Amino acid sequence: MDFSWLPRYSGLITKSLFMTLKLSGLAIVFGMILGVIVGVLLTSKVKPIKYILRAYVELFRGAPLLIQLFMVFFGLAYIHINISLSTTVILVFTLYTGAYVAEITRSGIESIPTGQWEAAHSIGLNYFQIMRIVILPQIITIALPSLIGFFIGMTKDTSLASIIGYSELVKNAQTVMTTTSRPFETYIVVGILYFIICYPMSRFVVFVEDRIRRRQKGIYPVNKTMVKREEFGSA
Amino acid sequence: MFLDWLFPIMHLPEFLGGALVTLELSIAAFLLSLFLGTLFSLVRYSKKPRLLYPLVTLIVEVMRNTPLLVQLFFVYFGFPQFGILLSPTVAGLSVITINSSAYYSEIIRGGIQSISKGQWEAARSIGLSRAQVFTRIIFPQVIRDVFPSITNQLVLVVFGTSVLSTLDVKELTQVASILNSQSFRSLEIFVFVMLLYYGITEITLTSSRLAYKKWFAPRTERR
Repeated sequence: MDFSWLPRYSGLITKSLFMTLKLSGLAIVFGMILGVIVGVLLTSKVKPIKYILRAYVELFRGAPLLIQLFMVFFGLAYIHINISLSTTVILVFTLYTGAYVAEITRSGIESIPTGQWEAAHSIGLNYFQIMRIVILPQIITIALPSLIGFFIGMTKDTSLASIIGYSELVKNAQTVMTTTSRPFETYIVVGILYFIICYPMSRFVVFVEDRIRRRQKGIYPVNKTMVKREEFGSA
Repeated sequence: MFLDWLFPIMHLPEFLGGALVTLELSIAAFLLSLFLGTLFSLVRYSKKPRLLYPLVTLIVEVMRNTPLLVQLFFVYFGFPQFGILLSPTVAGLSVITINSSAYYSEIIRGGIQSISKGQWEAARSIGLSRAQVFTRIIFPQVIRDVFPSITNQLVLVVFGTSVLSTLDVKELTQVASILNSQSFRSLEIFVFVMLLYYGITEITLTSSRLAYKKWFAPRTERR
């Protein structure tokens, strides 16, 4: 094993690591916005919107990311919409993330008992207030493990963008590999970089899941406001 | 611009051939990785044998925290450096298998952990060996409890096989790519393939739901 090539290519590798992080970061931000909106709309009672969005979510969750990348990359050029490669890639990853986040949000909203809706209605909150004050804050705690779990997977999946030529970590690793003819060492370095990004996140998932489990067992109080309210009520 | 939806229908045999390869790869990877994942999970759960535990932990963590594509390139391009030449299908299948067995080992380990220790003790006390306790008492319950997660991972295995197209394994994605470069009917081809994958996913999910109902659903009418 020979890592003597590493210093020469460290600049390229750092730059491509940044490209990977940029792509996954943008996809997380845009995908979260899109996903929460779609997820909320999926629970609405307007049938046409619901069906269209369901089709979107089902298709993007039911086909591999690679096919989505190919479809948008070749398909947009085919119908004469010319956007840059990085825009295309960000678009696909946003749509992909959005579909999953929407499904997580929807199942979160539906897991909240309807009694809470009725209670919130009866104290005079409107739909948006209930969503914002009552429902969404609860979902964040429930959905956090699966959300971060998905983000880990998505960050790893950004490597697929190299196949259509987006110059992130794996794409530039191929360049390094061909010039140094050291594929084994190159992919070890790339693997370590991905590991450094993803491993802390997966430990965090374990930590959060543990926390939630303990809370449900009642080792921790459910949350501070609830404890206070109990004290208030008994007084 | 003309969208020619007859094109994918005319080439249905090629697509179905590709879909068949995808299915074969997925089923092979699924069965192998369920088996290997169970072995991994046992090592991870019992922390025995002492020598194997750190190795299995390393494999599981690395497989779960690096992209499939990198693992694939590592094996396919990296191993020949030491004279180990693998065909694309063998390299791809083994990487997907080990990758998904890492996920299965975590799923199954979680399942084993959620079963109370008292069951082990009770079963041991009526004279079953440790292997018998696991295969007859613990494992069936684990499979029932984690069945939904197993199904989800199976779908991810199906999606994972699409990455093998980068090594020129002739599965559905690669068939689509080849047809695309021959005809440039991109939109028709990839929309069609997306629907095909959706069909495969739906069939997988539906059949697993049926299997769950048949094998594991609580039967209230029985006493």
